[in-house]
Amino acid sequence: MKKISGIVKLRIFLWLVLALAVVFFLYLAIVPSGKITYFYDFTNGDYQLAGANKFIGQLTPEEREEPIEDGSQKIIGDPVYFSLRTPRKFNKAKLTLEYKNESERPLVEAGVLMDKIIWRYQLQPIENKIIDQLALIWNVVEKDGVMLLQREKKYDTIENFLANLPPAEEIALYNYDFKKEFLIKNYEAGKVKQEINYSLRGTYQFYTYLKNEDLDFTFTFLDLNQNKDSDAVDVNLYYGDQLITSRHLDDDGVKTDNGEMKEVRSLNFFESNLPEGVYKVELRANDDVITKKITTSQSRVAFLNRIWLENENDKNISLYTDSQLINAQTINPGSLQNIKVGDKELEISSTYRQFSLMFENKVSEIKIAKGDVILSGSGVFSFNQGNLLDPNFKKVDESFSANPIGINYILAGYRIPEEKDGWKTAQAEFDLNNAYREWNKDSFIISIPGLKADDEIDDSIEIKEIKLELEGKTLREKLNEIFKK
Amino acid sequence: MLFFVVETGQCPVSTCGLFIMKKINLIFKELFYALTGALVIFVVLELAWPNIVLAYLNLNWVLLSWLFAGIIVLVTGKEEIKK
Repeated sequence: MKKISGIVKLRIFLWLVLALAVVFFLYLAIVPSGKITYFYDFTNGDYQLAGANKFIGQLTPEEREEPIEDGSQKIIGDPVYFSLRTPRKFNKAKLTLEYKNESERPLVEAGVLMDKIIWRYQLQPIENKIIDQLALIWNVVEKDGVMLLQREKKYDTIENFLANLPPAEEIALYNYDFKKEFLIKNYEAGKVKQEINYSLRGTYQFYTYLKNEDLDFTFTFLDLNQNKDSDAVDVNLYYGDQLITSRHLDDDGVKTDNGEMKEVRSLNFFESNLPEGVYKVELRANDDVITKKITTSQSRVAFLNRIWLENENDKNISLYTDSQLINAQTINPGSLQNIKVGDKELEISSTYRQFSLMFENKVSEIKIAKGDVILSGSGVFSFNQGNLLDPNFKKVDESFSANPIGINYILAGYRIPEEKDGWKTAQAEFDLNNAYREWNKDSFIISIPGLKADDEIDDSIEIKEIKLELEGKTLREKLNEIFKK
Repeated sequence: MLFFVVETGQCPVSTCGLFIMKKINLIFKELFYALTGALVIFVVLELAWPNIVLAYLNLNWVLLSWLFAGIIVLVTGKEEIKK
């Protein structure tokens, strides 16, 4: 038998190593089992070789975090983002966070980006200190990740509670999708058309109510053409969470950022034979699009959570809200001002910074002297007090206080984080099927509402571990799918 | 890696330097070929399936190793010719 020389042995060895490396890379890219776990690198020394691209990108932006120190990193501002780069698509992600909450902020949430145009995230709870504290003194019933908290024990099970609901004013929800029909007693359809003559910038959502009437909205748009994207407009109509119908308006033809403004354009949204109830209208557009006017025959129009009042609005705008938290922000130095909210004042003293005010009024009037202000809160806003319409239950968010508003029951899709040696561990699950994915990346957010990097308070959330367990189709399932086609 | 190639008793004292140089040249030549193959395969894989390799391995290190091996092959080959 011919003896194999040393050089040939070396050649075989090297090419075998290369073949194994290729098989290794293909195996990790295909993930035949459909399950893989990635970790955020807080030590800069994990299994990846120096300089290799990370699966979980760095937390950004830098100004909202401190540098990595001793295997952990402090977040000092809300929100922070990270991306997850995966070689293939997965259906589910389970995020595990190990952290220390050294701030007074009651909420920590994590989410995945679902819609890039309106920056909508699918948020899941990580920590809710309000519920954690109430759980110590209220009665708690827990089942399958759902908690029912009762000021005084009346219900033995969650099923019993759902079957015999107390008045809606006594219930608050957190991360629980509770479908309850909302009907307004003695409602009469609007007889005259109303015009909302305030310019609104970018995306917004509003509730409206229909009973024996047609849905009839006419939107008048102006395209500022200040960014390079195409500025199409989509108007979607929802009943509950169900999309019923939508309308589309193409870009005005100017797809550059030259600032050229063409004539205003209108979009009519008419639907008849809709049953009585609350409907949600969602306008999806980027910040180049200004809604100059909304004309409608509906008598109730209440904007949900956030509106951006454009600069060209008349001075002294009056709005009404049922939110117990008002956030105000401007990007325009000419719009720095004091906003009156009820009998309190909220000073917007600098640009690109959010200013907040909390109060306990059920309905408050907001008076704004100059436009170009972004208002947000945890309720609805309307330009007329009679237009206010909020079918949602109270939410246990950072502005929540159970006593003043008479809440006796809290239903929450939430698990209290586990605590060990001062570090808390919480998990959140995300459905990635409809998540926004670009360049093989999913975008995640860690939100701590109210945590501000630029305030004088020394508070932070320290993160020790970010783990993402992903689940998707196995190789066998994928092959079956291909061969079935 | 030398154990693959150097066989004891093959190195007469007078030509030992030349012998080792030749062996090093042969080893690095093999390494150079393998790294050339690795670079080509990894780049093709990256083009076909972005981040499949870069997620685990920075190709700059492969490129540097390839350059290093190439330089050694050239230097040792030259020394061999001189002797």
